[in-house]
Amino acid sequence: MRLVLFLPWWRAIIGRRAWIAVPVGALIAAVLALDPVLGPEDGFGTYLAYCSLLPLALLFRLGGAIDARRRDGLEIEEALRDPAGSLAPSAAILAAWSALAAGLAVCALPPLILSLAVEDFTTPALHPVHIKAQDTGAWTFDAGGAIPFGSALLLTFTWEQLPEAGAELHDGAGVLCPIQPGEIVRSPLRLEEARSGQFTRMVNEKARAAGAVLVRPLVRLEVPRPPLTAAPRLLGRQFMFAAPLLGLVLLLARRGRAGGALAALAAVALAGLLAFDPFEVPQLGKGPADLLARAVLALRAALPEVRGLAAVGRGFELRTGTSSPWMVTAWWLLGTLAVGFCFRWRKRP
Amino acid sequence: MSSAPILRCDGLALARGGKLLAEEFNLELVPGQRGLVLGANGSGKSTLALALCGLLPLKARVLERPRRIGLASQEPEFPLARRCGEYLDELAALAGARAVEARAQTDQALARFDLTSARSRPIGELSRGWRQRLNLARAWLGDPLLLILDEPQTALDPAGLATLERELATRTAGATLIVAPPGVGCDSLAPVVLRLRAAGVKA
Repeated sequence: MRLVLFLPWWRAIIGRRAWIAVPVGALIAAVLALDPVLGPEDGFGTYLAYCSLLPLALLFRLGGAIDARRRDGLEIEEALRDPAGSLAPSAAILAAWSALAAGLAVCALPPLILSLAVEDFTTPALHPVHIKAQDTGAWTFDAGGAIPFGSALLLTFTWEQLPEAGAELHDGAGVLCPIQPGEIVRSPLRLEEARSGQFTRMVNEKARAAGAVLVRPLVRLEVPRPPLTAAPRLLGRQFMFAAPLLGLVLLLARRGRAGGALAALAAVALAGLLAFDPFEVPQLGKGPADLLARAVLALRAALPEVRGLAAVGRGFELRTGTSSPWMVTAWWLLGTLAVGFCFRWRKRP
Repeated sequence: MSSAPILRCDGLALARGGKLLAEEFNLELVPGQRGLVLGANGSGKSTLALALCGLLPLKARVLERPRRIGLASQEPEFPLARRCGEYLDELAALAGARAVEARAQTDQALARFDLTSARSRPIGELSRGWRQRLNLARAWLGDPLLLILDEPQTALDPAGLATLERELATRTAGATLIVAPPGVGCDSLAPVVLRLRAAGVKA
């Protein structure tokens, strides 16, 4: 890519104030989220949530840059001079991606610097987990989606009578955990269980005979908490999530002739659909609102599962990094296709 | 010099907003040829210019036109905050020129219309007349095979007009099509090849 094509897009997307605004913003976010006194408990997710404003802002900056170039007659010049129509979209997306990468790289610095000064988080996070089904001495749990490998299930039992020695917990694959009265049972999740987010545990006959009862309110998922030094990796995931959205803005604004702000809003709406846990709708009728809900659910189901790239905020560790490489590849393929559709391809006679 | 037409349109019809501006007509320009399309306001001159550039849909039985066309539009739009030189550098690069080549093309285009001193000036600082010169320099950039000039005399002073005439006269490799209303100073720039009227066309 020629620098002379790249730089105008880069300048238009970054703007003059970004050189100050992004580092200062990252610093303020770090103070608000990670400071031991000012920040919330487990503030790393909060810091990542602040950082996610940067990709959102860039969606609008890219839309604005496309609008400005259209206003300035540059789209006409592109059509006249570049019949294949590939140079300007390539320059635009490369500038947007590099601006995103540069901004997130700046955002990665405060946690890294802070990790040298403060004690990094080492304790795992605990999350409640839904019990989907229950049978005699067997329970099926549902974490609502994939969870990080390395997580474990913490179970507490009460007893009608003290069990004999040999009371054990099965995980359905033959792995056993001894159950000690008065102790929390920790059962690590296998890789396939973490990927599916659904897992079953059962107690053996001895425990069942002793009247083992699971204390449901105390069921917890123990999830490893990423340390501050993982900031580059976590912000890299934000890049992987937001980069295809920039391609979507380019497609809607250039090919679809939508206004830049509208294209950015559409990308934000799609990001929201992808980033949040899917909502459960028990029963849908045939009214207009139901049809809309069906359409949204169908769209959500058709899109790749990339929640693991966009996990931010409190409890982000439950979802971060859980997207499969296939889903991430599919998501990038969609983004690349969006950019590809911006090329005109046809040649004038 | 090859005599193969640079621009050839047979059975060309021109419409805007569902209204027929010009019935079927033929238009052909060979290398070194200049042509003038005259027409009153609203006769479809600018529409024709944009359509020939491929910026508006065009209906023709036979259509031949070069891949790269230089257009000096009637109401040029510019990124006012950018400098003349870097702006033209980008346009040259859009046509595939490497950095050094783009810079050379820019220098040549600016020199043609006495804009060398404005290379590092923001476009927004230029007067209307100088912007018109930049508009022409932009069209000439990279010496496209076909130049389409929509009322190119607009806002030019006598010196600018003389420069335009000189550049048109020395242009031998490509073809040039000028569209303008009669009597605005373009009549002497090229022989009339087409006369547009509001209700049709007369060649």
